[in-house]
Amino acid sequence: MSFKTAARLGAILSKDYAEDFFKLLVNYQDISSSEAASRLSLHIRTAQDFLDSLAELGIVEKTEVFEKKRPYFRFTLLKSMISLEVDLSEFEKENPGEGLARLIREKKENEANFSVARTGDGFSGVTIREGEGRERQEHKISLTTPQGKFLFHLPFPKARPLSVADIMEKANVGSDYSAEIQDIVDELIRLDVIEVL
Amino acid sequence: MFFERKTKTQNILKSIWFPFLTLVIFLSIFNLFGPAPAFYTLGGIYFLAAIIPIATVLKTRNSSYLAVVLFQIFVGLVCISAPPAIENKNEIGLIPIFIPIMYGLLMVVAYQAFNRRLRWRGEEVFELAALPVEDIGNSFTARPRPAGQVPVSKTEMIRFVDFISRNLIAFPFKEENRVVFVLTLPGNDLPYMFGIKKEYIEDTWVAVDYDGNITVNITEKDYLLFKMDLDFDQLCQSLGDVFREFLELSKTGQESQIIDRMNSLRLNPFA
Repeated sequence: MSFKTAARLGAILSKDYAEDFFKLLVNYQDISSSEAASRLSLHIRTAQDFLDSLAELGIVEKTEVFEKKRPYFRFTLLKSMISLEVDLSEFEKENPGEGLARLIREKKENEANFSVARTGDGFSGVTIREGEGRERQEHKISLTTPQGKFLFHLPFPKARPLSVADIMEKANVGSDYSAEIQDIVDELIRLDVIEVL
Repeated sequence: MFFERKTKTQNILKSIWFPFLTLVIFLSIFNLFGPAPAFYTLGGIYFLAAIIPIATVLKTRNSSYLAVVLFQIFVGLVCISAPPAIENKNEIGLIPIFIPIMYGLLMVVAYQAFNRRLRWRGEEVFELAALPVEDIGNSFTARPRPAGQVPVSKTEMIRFVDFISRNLIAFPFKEENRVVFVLTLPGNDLPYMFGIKKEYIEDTWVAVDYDGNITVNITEKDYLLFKMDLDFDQLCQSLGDVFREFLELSKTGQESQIIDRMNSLRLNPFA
């Protein structure tokens, strides 16, 4: 299940009336949104949106029926078991080998201000100023200890650039932390604080 | 030793403002109210001014400043003893004793000053650091930089800190896991001497922790002391190297070589 699908499902399950809705769906062969709304004392629009969302997620089947009056939809539960499973490993940085081989250094005249950690051997945060004049805003990023040590060893502007892996070695940051290091590197590249050569 | 100076020459007014100002005050009061108030004011100024070298002696244990303290006290004593003697020549009191001591101390102070023993040596440290650094264009960035390692024991560090502060090379801040040496230029030392400034973050400093890690921070203001746009990365590394070398010399008891290295730059002791 993708994260977006899981998020939608979570949002549906978190509704106050979701449990009552599922009790109806389990016990009825099929149900229309107006029937469900009257049964649960909900607005028909709310019931319709809820059922449509379940249909989009494949939990119920939406069937158009024709009676004497104008056509409408009836909903039938397809699954009696809903499992929510998200694979978080999909967020791992892709291609870490190449990422660690990138030659980087601090960009000249960037708008970042580094705060030194109490221990003195790393940074605790980096504040980046964005925008001009009244629109100027400060964006502070609190760093993890490995990130702070890594950035402490980041080559200065115009200095010889080093690979991410070399800086990690200099900073004595283990390879276990390569994903979080790459995350902050990517973010600071985006914010024009680090340049890749 | 011949070298091309890389720092800008400091304004000489920074060194002579105090005697110049006291002279102006003395002459003004002399003309307006006569000699007695002028001498008493001058004496008061010198007594008050003695607080500064006293603070320096207490904070750094620099013995050369003791001569300055004594000189200022004796100038004060001469000044407050002068008005009765001017009015009545029979009331010269201890002036015949004070004046020779004052002149003797003046000679001592002048000797110390010419030998740069009364001057904070931040500028000389900057010069030493800048010697091997190339001019490649502005590459300043406002953040500290690790600058290598030097093995050091706590005893060696205590000895080094004592030497550095006693010789006015840098002002030390002792922290839990490291010592931070703040490089001080002449005239910028007073806030530290009087304990007004307790933070060094906005200054240029070199920190050495008890694991031997050296960290360097140079402020933009101090970077602009250099005449050219030196490679900032090299400059920070070089400043760290200078301190590492100083520490190595201190460990082997060759502290006099540190002073010799700085004296060999032959910077003007007053500007």
